[in-house]
Amino acid sequence: MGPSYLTVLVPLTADSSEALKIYLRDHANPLPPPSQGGQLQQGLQCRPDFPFDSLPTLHFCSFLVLDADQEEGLPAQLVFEATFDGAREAFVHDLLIAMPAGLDEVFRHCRGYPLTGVARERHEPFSLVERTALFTWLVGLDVGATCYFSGSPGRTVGQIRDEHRLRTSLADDLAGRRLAPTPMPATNAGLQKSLQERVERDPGLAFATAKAPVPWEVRRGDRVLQALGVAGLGLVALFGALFFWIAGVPPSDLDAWDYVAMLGHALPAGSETGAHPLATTAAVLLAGWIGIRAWEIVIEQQLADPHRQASLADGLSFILLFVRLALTSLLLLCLILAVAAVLMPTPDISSPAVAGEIAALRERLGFGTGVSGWRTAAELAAIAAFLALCSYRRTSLQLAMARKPGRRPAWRRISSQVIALAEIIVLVIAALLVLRHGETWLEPVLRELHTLAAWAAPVLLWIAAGLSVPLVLQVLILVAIRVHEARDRRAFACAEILTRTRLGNAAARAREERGSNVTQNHLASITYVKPGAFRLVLLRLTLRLIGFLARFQFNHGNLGGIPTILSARWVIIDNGRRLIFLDNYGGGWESYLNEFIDMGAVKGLNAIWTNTFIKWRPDGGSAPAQRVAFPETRYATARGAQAERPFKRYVRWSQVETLAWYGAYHTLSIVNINTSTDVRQRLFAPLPSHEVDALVSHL
Amino acid sequence: MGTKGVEWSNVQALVMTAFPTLRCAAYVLWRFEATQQCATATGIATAPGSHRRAASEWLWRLCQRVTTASHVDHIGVPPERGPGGPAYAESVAHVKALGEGKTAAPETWALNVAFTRSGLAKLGTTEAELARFSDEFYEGMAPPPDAEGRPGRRSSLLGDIDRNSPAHWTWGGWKACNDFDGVLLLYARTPASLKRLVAAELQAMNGVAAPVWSHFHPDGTPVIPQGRLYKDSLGHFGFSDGISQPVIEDTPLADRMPEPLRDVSVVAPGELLLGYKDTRDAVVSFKDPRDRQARDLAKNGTYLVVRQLRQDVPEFRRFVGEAARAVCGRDDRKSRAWIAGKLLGRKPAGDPLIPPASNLRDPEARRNAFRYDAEDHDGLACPIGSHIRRANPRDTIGPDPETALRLSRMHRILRRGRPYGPMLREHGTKGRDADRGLFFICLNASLAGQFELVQHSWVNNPQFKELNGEVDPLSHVAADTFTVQSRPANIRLSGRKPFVQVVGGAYFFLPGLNAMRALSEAGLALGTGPEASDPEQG
Repeated sequence: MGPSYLTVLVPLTADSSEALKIYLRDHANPLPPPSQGGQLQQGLQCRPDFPFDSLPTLHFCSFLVLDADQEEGLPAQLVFEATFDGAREAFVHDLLIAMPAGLDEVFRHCRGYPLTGVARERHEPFSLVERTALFTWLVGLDVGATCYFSGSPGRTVGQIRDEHRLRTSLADDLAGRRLAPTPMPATNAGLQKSLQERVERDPGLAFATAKAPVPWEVRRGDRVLQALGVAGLGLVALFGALFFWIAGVPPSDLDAWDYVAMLGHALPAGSETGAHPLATTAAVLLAGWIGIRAWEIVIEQQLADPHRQASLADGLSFILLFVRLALTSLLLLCLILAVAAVLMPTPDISSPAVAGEIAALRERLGFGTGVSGWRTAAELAAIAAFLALCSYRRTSLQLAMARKPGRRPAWRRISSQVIALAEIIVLVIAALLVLRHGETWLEPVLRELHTLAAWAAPVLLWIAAGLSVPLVLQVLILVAIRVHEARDRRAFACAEILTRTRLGNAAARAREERGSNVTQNHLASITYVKPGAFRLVLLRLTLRLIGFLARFQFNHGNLGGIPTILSARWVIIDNGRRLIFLDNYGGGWESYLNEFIDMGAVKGLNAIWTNTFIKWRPDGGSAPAQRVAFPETRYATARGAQAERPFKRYVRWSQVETLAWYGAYHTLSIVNINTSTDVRQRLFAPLPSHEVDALVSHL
Repeated sequence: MGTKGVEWSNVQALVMTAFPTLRCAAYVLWRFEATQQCATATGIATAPGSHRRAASEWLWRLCQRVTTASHVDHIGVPPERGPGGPAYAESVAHVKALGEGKTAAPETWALNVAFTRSGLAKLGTTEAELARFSDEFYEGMAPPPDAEGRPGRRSSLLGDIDRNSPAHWTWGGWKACNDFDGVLLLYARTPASLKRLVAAELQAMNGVAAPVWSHFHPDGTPVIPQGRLYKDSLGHFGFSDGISQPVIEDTPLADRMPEPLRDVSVVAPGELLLGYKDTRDAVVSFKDPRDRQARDLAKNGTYLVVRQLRQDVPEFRRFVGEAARAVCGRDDRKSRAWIAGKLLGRKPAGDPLIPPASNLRDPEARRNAFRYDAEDHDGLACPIGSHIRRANPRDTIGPDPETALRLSRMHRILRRGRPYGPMLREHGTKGRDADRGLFFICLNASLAGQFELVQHSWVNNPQFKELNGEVDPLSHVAADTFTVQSRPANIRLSGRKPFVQVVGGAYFFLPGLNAMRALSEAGLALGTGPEASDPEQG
């Protein structure tokens, strides 16, 4: 899934960083387009040494210099990042051909530059030998990204520009016709047709008659996540089977009923005490399920407002989820077994207590007694009335939630869930009531069902047992995180101190919201990874997970609720000692960081940067740096960035000056890009009237 | 004022009210008298002992005259005879004695005062304390340009470039009249009483501070900038202004509101006042757990933004007239009102373009208790880029309407601005080219998160929502077009030139009375010696 990316990281030769910074600022950084009456203009003015605009596949690129850190023994380094279409090799090749003068001048400051000492004419192209050497060198220096996000996946620079042109042409066209004396088409279909004709007439827009390809990750993202969920459950079941096997109960030896008997023994209402092991088990499970679900909803409701995050609740919600999943599978097990047993005229049940209970249940439901059709009809009518009542209550609860979301939301959600559960149980009973009339001809089906139950029962039980593995793992990880968080409080200064002094580091933010960056901005931040393998592993796992989600879930221009990121990457560098974050975002810094704080993404943000600290020199001088940790988190995801002022100061101090920045479409927001794509994809599709309306509203 | 938590007797009245009955206002920029200043390490001079003492004395007296929120009742009308206790009565007497009309009937007036960073520094605020004020206040609204003359980040952020550049400002900019320490905000009922109030205050500051003149008659005599509240709060463009205002929660005003109005109006006290919990439950406080002696200058204070916006009424009318001809085919009163309404998002009298819910009785709620998402999602009634929908997007910027509304509460500003200059009649040409406009004045606890964010990310954002290349039609920033969402297709109005130009402005701090007293007490305690050393300078 495009676009591709390249992150070159290379140490600089001694004392060359200042000269390089000046050169990059003055000769690499494109100038903003000339202002025409203050209007926003397209097209950055590239410098002669760095004709970025001659590379038609380049989305974004930037240069920055990381200062040396003597304490850690880290040299000054040059960072060059690029986001582009197509293969990395092709891009590097084009890059070397397009800007030999600039690249030579920049890389001369770098250690290991293959052409060191080679005298060259300025603007002379690299020879084939030089190019090959440089190519190998550059590609070898590429550190890629630990985690990458694109706001417009799968689209090339050309496509983004073309689609924007399409949208503006159509909008201009419509706006002109709207105010012209000739009438507009009377129907939405006619309007769509006229737009299509407009596109077909214009050779420059002919590309839009065909749909653009959509990457499979975007189309099939949900499926991948579902498949992964199923695979996860399979793995869990495998663990469960392993437990049983270790416990000396080989699964193949057991009949499904043995599991129920085991369950009955395990639960407090064991079969030896009461007469109804199955019913008691089911009741206990059901009550447990409802209780857990209610607890979950209460926590979810608490967490809905990110600023009301209870620290423990966040961790607890994971644990509750696992417990509920286990309970669900046990409940399913009971239900399947009970239904199968009730339907069998002579169920083969080893436990006498359960057998007696099933027999009683069969009798009560009237199996094998030749119930009259009228009685069944009457019972079904009663059930239908009950279901109607349930449905009425549930719908009115939903409407109430939609109209007045603020009022007793947790209670409403819990009641609607309980009603849904009751509906399921009643539906099962209704099915049984009907089935008692067809016992004889249902016999073969029932046999099948019983085999299925016998097969499913152990699997469900394994899942229930196996879920203890992620549960225990989760608890262990949370405890480990908490221990580390407590330790960090002593090892690092609190980010609160950053708010007590004046903000320095002005150079790092000098380019924001001005010049070339009126609408798209670049944020480069460097932080140190807290010492210890635990932090590094946690950081890597978090980044990989977010990268995975960015690829399969957040691939519609929205990263966890943030609708402004164009292209972002996180790279762990210097052998795991530092984390660099390079980000192209739309809009202003302040509102962008607010999105980070106030949207769901804050959890991911916390989980990443909670593993980091900065070296803080308030006056930028030679005084020893203070090690200031990211604002304190709870269980890695809660609080943290939500302490707005310390967090923003932390980001400010972690920022590095972007010396040169290029964007191929610097006046577009990610919403603009995705809206234009949407217009293009739907223009030639058969659309119902209201969707044409939505299409036209974008023009 | 029976209000939980907030110390209203320490809060200046401007936070509570726009003084609707005091129709005349004067904004007096002032500077502490130039003396032999000592340069400090930070480059800001602190007035030496004797001057500091005089300044503190003036401030101490000023504290007694400042109108506080507890002096005004909840509707915002200063009482005829001061119920605010002996200090208030005494201060009224004091000013009457200063004024020329000793025999005049008791009249109502109001006084608030705000300071720049240099003003606070000269009153003995330490550099460590100043550092804790927000960066935006510390740097000022128009930080000087860089060595190559390019505007700073803040100027770009606020759109103060090109014709709005601080290079051209009449005050607060890079050149003219940019050295002042504070502003006195004076309010009175009539021009005559305002004149007396100004004269009295100028006399009171005589020898300590001097007015800084930003405006002059053609003959060279200084003019004090004045704001004027017209009937129905009408502005020069013919629209009622200042309708939607944030209201601090748990105040009688908030409690009395019907629920739909409360939903869109009520904010946490920390959004408008420092020292209280904001929407994110954070509190800005200068208290220091390590230093019990530290004074909390932030508490009960807030930041004051003043911007002088010159309004080109003929150009506004030309654009509206041409648009009316293009869209409606005729340039009559009704078509013009329709076009102008679409630009503003309200009808001239202030009624919203979105019809109010029929069960709302409260007139205020009928004008303001609307939301966009459910009622006008596509902007067919109130265009997405219209002034009021950009300046306060209510429930439209966020993942869902409820969250959006909650988030929008973090970006509200209290608007206290007033028009200046003569009104131009509908078809009048007399005084067509007179200088007129708006003293845009607003209060907020976070300049970056409120005033600046509204300016940059909403009002002047060319990529607001799905729009591309447009700005708020009433913005000072250039953009040629404005889209009116419509069916069968959107209407695009083009040929817009900005009707508004920024000609001056500054950030101030409107301190709480507690902070003003703390500053003056520290100054008075310095001793009486002419050159008593200043502990802060040690």
